[in-house]
Amino acid sequence: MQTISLIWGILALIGTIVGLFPCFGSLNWFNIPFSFIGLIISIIALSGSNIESKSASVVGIIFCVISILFGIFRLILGGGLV
Amino acid sequence: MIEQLKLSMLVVWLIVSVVTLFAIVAPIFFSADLIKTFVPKCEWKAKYNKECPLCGMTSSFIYISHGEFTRAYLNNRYSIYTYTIFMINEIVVGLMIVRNIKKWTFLLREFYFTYRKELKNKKEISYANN
Repeated sequence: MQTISLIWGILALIGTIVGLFPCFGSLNWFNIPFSFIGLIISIIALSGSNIESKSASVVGIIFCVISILFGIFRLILGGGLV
Repeated sequence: MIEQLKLSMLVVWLIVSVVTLFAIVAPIFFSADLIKTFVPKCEWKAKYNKECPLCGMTSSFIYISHGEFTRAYLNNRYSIYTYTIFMINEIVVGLMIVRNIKKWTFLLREFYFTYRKELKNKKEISYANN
């Protein structure tokens, strides 16, 4: 579960970076829900893990939150709303 | 953490490689018109009449897959480099898969059986508690 949350976070971050290109602005419509699912998975992983092995899920949460915020910001800027 | 990060990066690399493989293979199997219907229009071009670094990449990839490198370069000058990088990446991934297929199959089987065992133990414990 920890590894899955980390994988999900990295994929969400890559999606956000690709979404920064003007052609792929609409990718954020897919990437934001994807990151949101990742965030839920990461929170579940975090709650189910012991203190020593929390870092992967924490990184997953951070990546997913960054992806959601940047995705929303990108959509507000334009390039995905049209 | 380092092991998890390594595994995660490997999985992410494989997933990204599948996407790039699709970008390379799609022009061979599907028609240009069909591909262009799925590709979004560039916002810079529509709004500001400016070309972004990815403008013309789809057409260029189609031209490259048909062997028309000059037209591909004229459409997007980065396309040939991008295509080459994608191809090299696919070759490296392919070689890595061929090298490690036995090891990965073994690890997957181990993971599956361990998971099944754990699940069985959990079920037995819950039955015993009930």
